[in-house]
Amino acid sequence: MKLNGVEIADGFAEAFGMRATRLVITADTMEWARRAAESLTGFATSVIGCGCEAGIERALEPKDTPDGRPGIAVLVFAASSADLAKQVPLRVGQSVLTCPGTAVYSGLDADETVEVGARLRYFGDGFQIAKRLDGARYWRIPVMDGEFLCADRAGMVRAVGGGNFLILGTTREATRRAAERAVKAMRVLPNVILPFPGGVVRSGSKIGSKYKALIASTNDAYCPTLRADANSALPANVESVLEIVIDGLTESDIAAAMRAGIAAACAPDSGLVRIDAGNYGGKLGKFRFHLREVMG
Amino acid sequence: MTTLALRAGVPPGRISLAGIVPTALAGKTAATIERLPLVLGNRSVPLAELFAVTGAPGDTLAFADTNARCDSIGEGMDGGTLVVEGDAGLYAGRAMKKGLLHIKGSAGDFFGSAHPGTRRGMAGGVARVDRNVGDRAGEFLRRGIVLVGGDAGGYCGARATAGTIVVLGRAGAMAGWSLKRASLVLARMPQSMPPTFGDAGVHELLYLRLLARSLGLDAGRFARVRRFAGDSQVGGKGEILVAAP
Repeated sequence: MKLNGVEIADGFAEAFGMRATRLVITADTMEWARRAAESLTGFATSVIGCGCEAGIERALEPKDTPDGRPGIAVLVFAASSADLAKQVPLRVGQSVLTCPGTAVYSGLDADETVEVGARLRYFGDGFQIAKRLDGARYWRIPVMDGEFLCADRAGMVRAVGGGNFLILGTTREATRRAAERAVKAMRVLPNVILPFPGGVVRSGSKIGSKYKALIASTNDAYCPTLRADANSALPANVESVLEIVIDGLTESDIAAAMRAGIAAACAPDSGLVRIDAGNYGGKLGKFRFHLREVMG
Repeated sequence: MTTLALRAGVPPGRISLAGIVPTALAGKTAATIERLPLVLGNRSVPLAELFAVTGAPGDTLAFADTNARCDSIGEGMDGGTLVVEGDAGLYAGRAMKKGLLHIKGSAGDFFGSAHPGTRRGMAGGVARVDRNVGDRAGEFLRRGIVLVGGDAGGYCGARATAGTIVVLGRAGAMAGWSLKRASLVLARMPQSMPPTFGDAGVHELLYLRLLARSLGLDAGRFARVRRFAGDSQVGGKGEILVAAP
């Protein structure tokens, strides 16, 4: 299978079951909402080292937010509900509670929930006030610029993390430009985030290492400088490989994002050789995204 | 929707409509409803003697042509919608738990309050009056919202422990007396409030935007409010919020 001359490998991306929530952060201006959201989703690239994976999903017009102010929707993914329950109050407490004029709402209606204000209310030291409106509970926590308004809980759903594809290019520049096109096309889609900086990863990893302390190490089969090694997976003319990792609320959200990203990457005369995907032989993840099915 | 219209020429005496709420009437046929006992003065009469029953059973119940003799409308309501095209007497929405009570006229004393001798008032839902209410509206409120479109009498929100009371006209004397933790949101300064409230200055409270949206009010109406914290004789965790220019 080829797309504008770029080979779509007969491989699959392996993804995992995760727990996710959507938070809506509003503020007096879009700039302040974005600052809070960027801080909340900062250092949240991989559950391995960050406890969760988070990103900005989209900006919201005042008419689309609960309080009629500009807002940002963020998605937070964690490996378990316990991890999510730990990360969400921690991040909201450090990054939104602290940020002038902001408020936090649940962005998902779901039977299961994760605590937000229910934990942060204690910051109010007894001066906090609970209010119930239209079935939802909110906390008003006195802070130095007035009150921090925070949803008691946010909806939590089962989600999918670790969808991915690899961009194999003839030069570093061509590969980077293709990744940038892919990210641009994917970031407009709902229900997905690309947790890595700029949406792109250059340090794809394999499971295990020659060093016993490491559970993962560099994916040497895709490192172009190691192409002479017997187990290299790279064709001779590949000089650079970049990966795009996708977390989404559902399998179909991830498939849609992969489709849009791969199509954008494989523009005419892109300088790409192949689109591949990362997996662990299908042994670890619950979900598989076969590239040729996704692009079919 | 079932509609109960008060007949003309009903004999004198107060009418108690306690128990005539949407969840109690849901699924009942008009014939069954007509036989329900009501208290008129000091005697029991079948509902049909006082009200004409029309419509089919459902989540919504309506009263029409009611007047200030009709007491206990929506008392103990635990769901559904109750619309009153007319005035209500005493005790409307008393000890309500859930649902929406909407009185398009005025209501008497003890609107959305508690049963006599108990300290447990409204536990949830929205009790709304488009015009005026009498004394002690929202007394002992625990949760839910009381919305008064016109003026409220004396001791509005007295001894409320939580929840929100909104008065779009003017509240009477001693508004918020012994308020524990609830919010009184007032469009104007009340006739008076206990001296045990402290002026905390003017603020923009985001919560009031959500409240205004939820109640279908103009969002700018309570954009800035003066906050009076109190009642300090019972802990001072409540507040009277008065719209500020």
